[in-house]
Amino acid sequence: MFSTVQAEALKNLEFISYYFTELVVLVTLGLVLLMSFFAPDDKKRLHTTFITFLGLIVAGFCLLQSSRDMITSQPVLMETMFYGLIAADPMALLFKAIFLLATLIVVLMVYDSPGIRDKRAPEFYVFLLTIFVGMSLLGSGLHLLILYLGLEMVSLPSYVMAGYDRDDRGSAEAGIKYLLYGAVAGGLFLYGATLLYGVTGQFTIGGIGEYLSTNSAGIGIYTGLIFMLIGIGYKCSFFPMHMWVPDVYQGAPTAVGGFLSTAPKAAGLAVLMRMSYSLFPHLVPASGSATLATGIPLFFFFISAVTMTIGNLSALLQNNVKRLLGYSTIAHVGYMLMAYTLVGKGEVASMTAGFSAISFYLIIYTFMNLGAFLVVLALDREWLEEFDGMFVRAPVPAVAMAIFLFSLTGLPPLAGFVGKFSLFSPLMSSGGNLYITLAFIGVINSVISLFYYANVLKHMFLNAPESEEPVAVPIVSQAMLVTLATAVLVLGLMWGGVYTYTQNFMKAINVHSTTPIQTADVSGK
Amino acid sequence: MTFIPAVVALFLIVVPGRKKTLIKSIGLATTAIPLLLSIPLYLGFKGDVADYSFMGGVDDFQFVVKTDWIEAFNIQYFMGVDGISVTLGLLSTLLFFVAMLVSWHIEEKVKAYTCLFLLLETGVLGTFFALDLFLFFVFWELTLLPMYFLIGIWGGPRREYAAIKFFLYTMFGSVLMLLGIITMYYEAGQTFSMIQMVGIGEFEYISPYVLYLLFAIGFAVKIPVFPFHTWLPDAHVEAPTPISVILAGILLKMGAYGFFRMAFPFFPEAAVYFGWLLALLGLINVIYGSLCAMAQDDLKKLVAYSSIGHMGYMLLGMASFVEIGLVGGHFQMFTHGLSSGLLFLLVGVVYQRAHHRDISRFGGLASQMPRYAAFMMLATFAGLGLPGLAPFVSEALSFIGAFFSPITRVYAIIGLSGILLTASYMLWMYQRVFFGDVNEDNDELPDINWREMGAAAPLMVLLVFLGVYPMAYFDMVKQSLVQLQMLFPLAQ
Repeated sequence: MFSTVQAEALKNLEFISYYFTELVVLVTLGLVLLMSFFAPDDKKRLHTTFITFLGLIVAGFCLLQSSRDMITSQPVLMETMFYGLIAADPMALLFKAIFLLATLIVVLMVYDSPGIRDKRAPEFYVFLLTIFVGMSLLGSGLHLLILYLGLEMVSLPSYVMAGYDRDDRGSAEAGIKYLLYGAVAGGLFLYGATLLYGVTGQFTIGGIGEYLSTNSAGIGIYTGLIFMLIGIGYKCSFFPMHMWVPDVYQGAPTAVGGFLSTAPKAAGLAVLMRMSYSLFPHLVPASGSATLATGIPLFFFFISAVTMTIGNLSALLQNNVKRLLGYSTIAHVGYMLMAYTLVGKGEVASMTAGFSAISFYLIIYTFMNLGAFLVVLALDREWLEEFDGMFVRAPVPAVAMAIFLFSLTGLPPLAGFVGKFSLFSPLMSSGGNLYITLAFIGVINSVISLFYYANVLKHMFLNAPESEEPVAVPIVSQAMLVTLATAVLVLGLMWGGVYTYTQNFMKAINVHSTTPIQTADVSGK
Repeated sequence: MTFIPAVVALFLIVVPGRKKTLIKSIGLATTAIPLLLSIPLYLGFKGDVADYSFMGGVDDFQFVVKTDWIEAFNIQYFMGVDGISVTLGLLSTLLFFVAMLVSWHIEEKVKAYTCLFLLLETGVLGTFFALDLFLFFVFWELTLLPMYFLIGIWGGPRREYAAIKFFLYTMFGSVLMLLGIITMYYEAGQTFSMIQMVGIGEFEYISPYVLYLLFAIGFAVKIPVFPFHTWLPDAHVEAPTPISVILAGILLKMGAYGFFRMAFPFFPEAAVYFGWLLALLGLINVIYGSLCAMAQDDLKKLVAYSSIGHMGYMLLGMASFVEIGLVGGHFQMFTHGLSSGLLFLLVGVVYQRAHHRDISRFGGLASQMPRYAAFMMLATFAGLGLPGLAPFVSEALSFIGAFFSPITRVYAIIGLSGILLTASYMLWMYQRVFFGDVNEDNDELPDINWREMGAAAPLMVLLVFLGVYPMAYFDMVKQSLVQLQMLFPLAQ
């Protein structure tokens, strides 16, 4: 009796090496916490930054190691850990890599961030690392409660981070706003999960998928899914759950705004993808009714089109660069949702094509969007007029900003272009008029976005500066800007390798727990 | 070989220093390299490849460079020239050199200017030489960024407006083209090679008529074809002189080149189907552009509108889809590149001296700047298509072609009036600027100097030479255009 339990427990830890990344991050978290007590006050910031940085690098090596295992194993490894609660599959690794990348960049951004550096940087790193672990749960969770846990683990520290600059009214307001929206969305997500469990009797994504493969979906399933979609939509900030974005990004410290605009979006999209992968193949054809077969694509078509159009049109009138970037984030989520719309076809092949395009875009987007926020941070100003003549006063950030913004517009030979290219191509090859129409809306939106991005650059390059005095830029930020801008350029020219990698990692997504869980066990916890 | 743009790009990176004259000299030397390299290109190019066939594969193209670039999407670094692109490449290298000579008066932010200028040259040459559709698009868009900043930073009083307008218009056109390009990738069986996109029988994803329109709008914005033309006068008026030269001389040709290289051969049926539309818009270009030009008081604006008119002739020739019209249209591209480049250059000369371009404030300039008046006379005559100069030949051929074709005959007859309009506004302009009472404000204007004459001279020599012996040009382009013409399903 005992031995079987033990054996089963061991079996579930067989793939624990895929969890080393999180474990390393957790250890780092502890170290940073300790450090914040013992390090001398004047060196505290330097030491904790160093430890965090080092921890993330080690975590990155763990990730690299496990992905090497995964790529070499044939067939592609699709396992689970912890009694099927967490997936050990290539998709999880890919998303962890994206989260790690964003976190790493933000750690270096924070070092010289005016709103944070003087006010307890160590604690900030603790929050950041907690969010990383939460995001990893979202990227690999197979169980609705794990997903909820991840969602809250990302949200709670985010509220604090948004309101980190306590002396600043805007920051405090951002924190509160974020909290209120987040609490409602989290509650709805949990409610939706409960509904799904109530109808299907299953708590795992795979289990719900199995239920759907034999039973047709009723009103309970759809209600539950929509509630969960609202919860996720709030994280990804798509229409109509996007309202908090501009306020929070404007108020929160710039580094936080940048972070929130990249990694958590990726986490939300990861959940969306994994769930869709399991549910939609059953949902669309099994429904049998023509209304649903056209209704579901139309539903996502609408969300995607409205999200990007609202984001872009609202950004046109902004004169605060942080707020502008907030709206542009919404627009970019809309672009990514274009490829997500392919789930409406219910075919696994078109879904994976769309999903790998999204994850490829996310990688590129992380570089360019964080880059743009970093410029705002490095110059320490946020109103458009304050950027006048920056080309003369601070040439490095100005040129970097040009690269990031043109990349966000999607102009070759920058990375943003190939990202958009990969988003459009599954749509164009899908053959449906609906998807082609969506691609049209997408490209028209790119033209609209050019206007406000170019407007920022107009202020930086074409307008005369109020004074010729050079603006001092911290050396760390300077180096980071050059690195990120180079990355955007290189990715724009040599993107074949990265693209093939994402495609390979997204080829198969694990949704099935290898160890079936007695639902009663879990609900009894 | 056709590594000219790569060479330029390489030089672009290493442009060092802060000394203005040095940077300009380096810029000039750098533009001279493609110019020199274009000599072996010209000499080595065989215009009469016997077994030439448009669908025949790589053999049709000369100076081919081909390596894999992005294997995941089967994208290649694939460059080469044929008759359609080689002359435009030659024109570009010449005009960039000339424009760099004219750039000597730029004093602000010289390094950034030179860098962007050279980047623009890379983009332009790449656009003409690329044979991979993806590569083409990258180069095509690469010309936008430098142009935006070149107009926006070094331009005239309303430069910001003009720059963003130019950017938005062309971007609008090119994103539509991007959708077309992606679709073509799948239509052609997952390849971006332009050669394999010719002669696709069955279109699986989108109808070829829609695809043709996607490409055509992208190119039409660039040419520009009415009603997409409104960016052009603004951009020209605000752009600094050398950039106007490039814009009129080369960037407009990129749009026309796109028709010859892509829109026509990829979708011959659709092209003929919409031929009447192209011809009609060409006619509107001729009449409308000429009438607008007549009403202008700003010299540069006048030349800009005349560009719209001249592009109309070219469209009429192209839309005829007969051999002689295609040759005429293609030649019109080249000659307009020379003549409008020359006109903008000369307008820049007087603007630099008088600091305004209002025709009404000049007068009697011939007595103050006799040499300049002589140069301008030739440019004006080229602009109105006087026999003996190259534009006459190209315009005549375009019209002859248009007469031959049932699609365009009516438009050609009406379009002939454009010749009269052009002559009248050109001569009227010349008369008001150079003859009549001497305006006392212009007493002190120095005559055209040696550097400016040096810049103008090669253009003038070519205009005269090709006017007398146009066969030099036809020998290069004819074979390719004959092959192109064979693709069209024409009921003669």
